[in-house]
Amino acid sequence: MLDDIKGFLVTLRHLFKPKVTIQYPEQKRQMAPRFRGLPALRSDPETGEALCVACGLCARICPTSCLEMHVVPSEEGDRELGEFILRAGRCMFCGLCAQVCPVDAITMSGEYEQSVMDREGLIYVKTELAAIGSQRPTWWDAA
Amino acid sequence: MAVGSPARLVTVTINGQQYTVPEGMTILEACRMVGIEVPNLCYQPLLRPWGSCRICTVEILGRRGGLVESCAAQVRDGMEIATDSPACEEARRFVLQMYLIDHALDCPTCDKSGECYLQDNTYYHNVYANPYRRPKIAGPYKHLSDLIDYKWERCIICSRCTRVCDEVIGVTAIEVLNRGLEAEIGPAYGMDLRDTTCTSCGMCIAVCPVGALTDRKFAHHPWELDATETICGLCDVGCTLNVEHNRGLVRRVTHLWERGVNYGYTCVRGKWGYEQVQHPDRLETAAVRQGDELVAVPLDEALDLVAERLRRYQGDRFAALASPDNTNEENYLLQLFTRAVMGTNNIDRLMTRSQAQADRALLDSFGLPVSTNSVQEMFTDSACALVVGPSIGDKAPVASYWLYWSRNYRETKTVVISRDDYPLCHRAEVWIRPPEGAEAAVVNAMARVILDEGLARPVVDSPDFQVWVAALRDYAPERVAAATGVPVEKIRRAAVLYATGGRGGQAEPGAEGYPPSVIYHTLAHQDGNVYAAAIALNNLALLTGNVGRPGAGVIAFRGPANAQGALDMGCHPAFLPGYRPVSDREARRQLEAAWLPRWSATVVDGFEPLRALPATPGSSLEQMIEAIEAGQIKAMYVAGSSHEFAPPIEPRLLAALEKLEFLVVEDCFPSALTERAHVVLPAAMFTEKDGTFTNADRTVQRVRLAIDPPGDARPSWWLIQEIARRLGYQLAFSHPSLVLQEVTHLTPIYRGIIFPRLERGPLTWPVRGLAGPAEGAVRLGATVPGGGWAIWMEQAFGGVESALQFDDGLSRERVRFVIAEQATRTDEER
Repeated sequence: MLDDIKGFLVTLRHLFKPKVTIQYPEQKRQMAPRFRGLPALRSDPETGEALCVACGLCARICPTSCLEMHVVPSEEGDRELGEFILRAGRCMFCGLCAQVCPVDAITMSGEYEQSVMDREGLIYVKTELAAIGSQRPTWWDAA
Repeated sequence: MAVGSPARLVTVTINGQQYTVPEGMTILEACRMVGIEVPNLCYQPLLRPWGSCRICTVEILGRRGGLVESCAAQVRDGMEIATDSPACEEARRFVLQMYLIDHALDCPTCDKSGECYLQDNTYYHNVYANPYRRPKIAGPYKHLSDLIDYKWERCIICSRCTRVCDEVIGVTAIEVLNRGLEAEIGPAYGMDLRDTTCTSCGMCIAVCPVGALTDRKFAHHPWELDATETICGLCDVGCTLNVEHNRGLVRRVTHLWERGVNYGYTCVRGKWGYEQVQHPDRLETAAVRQGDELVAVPLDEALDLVAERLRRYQGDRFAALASPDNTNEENYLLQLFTRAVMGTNNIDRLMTRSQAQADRALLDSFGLPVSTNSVQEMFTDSACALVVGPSIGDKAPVASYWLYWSRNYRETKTVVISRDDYPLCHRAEVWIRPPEGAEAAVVNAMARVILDEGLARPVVDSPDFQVWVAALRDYAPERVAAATGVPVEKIRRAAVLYATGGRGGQAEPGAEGYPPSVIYHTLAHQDGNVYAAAIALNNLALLTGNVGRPGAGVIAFRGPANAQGALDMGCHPAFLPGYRPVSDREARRQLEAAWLPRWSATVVDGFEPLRALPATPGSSLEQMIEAIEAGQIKAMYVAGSSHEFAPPIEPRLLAALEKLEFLVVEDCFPSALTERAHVVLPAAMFTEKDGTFTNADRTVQRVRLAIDPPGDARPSWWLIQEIARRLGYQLAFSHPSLVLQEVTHLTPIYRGIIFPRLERGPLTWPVRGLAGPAEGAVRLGATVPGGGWAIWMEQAFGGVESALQFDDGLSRERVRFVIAEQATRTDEER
C-alpha cells in the first residue's frame, strides 16, 4: 500500500515538471549547434554560385564510400562538378567530407528527416543537396 | 638503355658504399642504376641533362663547393657522393621553398595531384610553412590547343616539355618564352598549337613533372584509376601503353618510361587513340540485311544466320579477308576457319595495293615478307639511316623519335627521300624530294653511284647480279637528275653516305667494312605503284652488305598494328602459318593432324567434314576481286577495322563486294564495308581483347584487355569460334593464350613464344630456344653469322637453298636481286 503511494507521488511530481516529450512533427527540437545531419552542398552566400571545385577529396575520404563525384572539364580548362551523388543509406554522418573540403563547399546541414518509402529515396543528387545546403553556413560557423 | 658498351668502369662511393659504374655516366644515372633514389624534377630518361631544377643536388665530399647537380655531373673515379647529407637536404629544401612562392598550390583540383613530382618532393623534404611569402602571381589557364592546357603558376620551367618536343618528337613546337619571372611555355607568337608543327602527341603533358601542362579532357585523379599495360593497336611500331581506366571507360593513357619498344613515349595515336575505342559511333549490335537496310538483331541470331548461309559455300566459292588490326590469335583462327572449315586457300589481308606491294617486295628480295632488323638497333648500331616514303613522323611516329634521338646522341647520319615536308627533312644531311613516282629512279641512281665509286661490298659474279647491274645502266645519276629534277650532287652525297655508314667517301672501311646503314621506308602508305621503289631499296641494302648484321637492314612500316602478324599467321593465299607454302605436303600433313580431328562426325545439310587441306594457292586480294566479278567467289567473310587511322579500302574491292551472294563483315565502326554486308558482326578493338601483336620488326607483344567491348561487340576470336562450332567444327579455345600455344606448337618461326614469356616482355621471332634471348637481326647464310657477302652470295645464287637461316634449320627461299619491271618502265615514260 505504502509502495503504491510512493509510486504515485513520483508520477504526481512529474506532472508538474516541464515536459520532455515534444509533439513531433508539429514541434521540433532545437538541435545542438554542431549537430551533423545530412551533408549538403553550399553555395557562395553573396553570388549564389556553387562553391564546389570538384577536387573529389570528399569522395576520396568518405569511409563508407557513400559519396560519388563525377568531374567534367570546364570551359576554362579547370575541372567542374558533373554529378554529385550521396547514398545516404550508407552515410554514417561522420562529417569527414565537410572537414576535408578545401573550399568549405560541404556543410553538415543538420537535416535529419530522412524517412523514405524505398532505398532509392536515400540517394541524393547534386540539385537536391544544393537545395538543402545552399543557404547554410559552414558547419563550424553554425556553432 | 644501352648505348654501346662502356669501355671503362669507375669506382665511386655513394652514401658510404662502394659501387662500380660505367665511366661517363651521370651521378644521377649511376645512383638509379645501383638503386639509390635521388629526387629530381627536370631529369627525364632519353633527354639531355639540363640541370635546371636543382632538386637532384648531391654533395661530393672533400671538394670545395661540393654541391653539384647530379643529373648533369659525371662520375669520376674515387668520387665520394652523399645523396642525403644535411647540406644537400638543406639546399633542396630552399629550392622547393622558392618554387612554392608562386606555385598555385591548388593540389585538390590539379590533375597531377597524387603523381606530382613537386608534391612528392615537398612531402619528402618536409616543406610545410614557407618563410618566403608574398602575394602569389596568378594567371588563367592558357589553351595551347584543343587538347593541351597550360597553367603558368604551376609551371617550374624545368624544360622537360620543350626538350622532349625538340629532341625526341623533333617538332620544336613549344619553347620557353620570355625570361625570369615572366618565363612561360608556349608556341611562338602565341599561336594555337594546331597551327604549328605540333603533332598533338601529348608528350609535353606526359613529361611535365607538375600539373602545368594538362590534358583538357582528363579531369580525374590518378588514384581513381586502374592501369593495364597493353600494346597500341593503331600502327605497327608496337608501343607499350599504360591504359588507365575506371568505371568501364579508358580515362587516359600514361607512360611506362624506359619500357617497351617505345621507352614509354607515344604519338598522338597512342596518347589519344582510346577515343577511337570508345567512340559513340562504335558498332554495338549485330545487324542483318533486310531489303535495303540493316536491322539490329541479337548476336546469336546473326551467328546462326551466318552459319546457315555459309554451309552452301564450302570450297573455293568462299573467301576471307583478315584484318591486319586483329591479333595474331584472331588471324590464326580466321585462316584456320578458311582452310580447315571452308576448305579453301582464299584468304588474304584487307589492305591497300601499296601495302601488298611493300610485302611482296620484301618477299621477293629476302624470301620472307619481313623487316630484316629491329628498330631498337637505332640505339646501338645503326650509323646511318635512309628514310624513304611519306612522312615517317606521321606514319610511324615513334620510330621517327629514335631517328631524331640517334641523330642527337649517336650522331647518326640521316638521308631522307620524301615528297612530304616534315621536320626530319630539315635536320637530315640530305633531303631528296623526288617528284611523284620517282623514288625508284632516285634509289637506283644511288645504287649506280655506289657501284661506280666502288663502294659496294665485293660481289661474286652471278647471272642475277649481272642482269641487275645491266639494268642499272639506264640510271646514270645525271640522267635521273635531269628526268626528276633532283640535283645530281644530292644523289651522289646520299649514295655515299648510305654506302659508307655516314662516314663519307674518303673514309676507309674498317675490318668489318663500313658501319651499318639502315633503311626505313613507309612506302606502304604511299599511293601509286611502290613495288619498284621498295625493291630498289632492298637491292641497295644487299649491294652495300647492309643485310644480316645488326644496325643495318630494311625496315618497312606497313601501317596496321598487326600487318606483320597477319602474314606470320598465314593470312596469305600461298602460305600456311609460318610461311610454309600450301604446296608443302609435310606442313599440310602436320596441320591436318592438328586441325581436322576437330570435325564432329555428323554431316549437317550436306556440309561435310574436310578430309584434307587444300593444296593449291588460293586467290589473293586482287584475284579475289576478279573471281567475284567472274562469279567464282560467292560468299565472303571480311574482318574490317574501320577506325580513323585505317587505310582506305580500294573502291574496286567495294564494288566487287556488292556482287556477292553473301557477305559477312566483322567491324568496329559503321563503314563502307558494313554498308555492303548481309550480316554485320560487332567486333572488339585493341584495348578490349587479349592477344598478341607482331610489330614491324617482328617483335611479338602482349595485348591486354582493359575495358569491356561496347554492347554485343565481341573479339573476333570468339565470333569465329562460334561460327565454326555452328558448322560442326569444334573450336573451343577459352582464351587467346591457348590459341597462341597451338600456334607455337605448329609454327616453327613462333617457337618459344608463349604467353608466360610474353608477360615478362616482348619477344622478337625467331626466338632461340625456350630460354635464350631473342635476336633482332635476321642473319643470312647457313655458316656465316655475320652474313659475309661473298659466301652467301655464292650460296644464294649458286643454287644452294640458304638465304634467311633460322636456327631451327629451316631455310627459306633465296635472297636475290630483283628487277622491278615497273622501275624501267617508269624511267622510259619520262
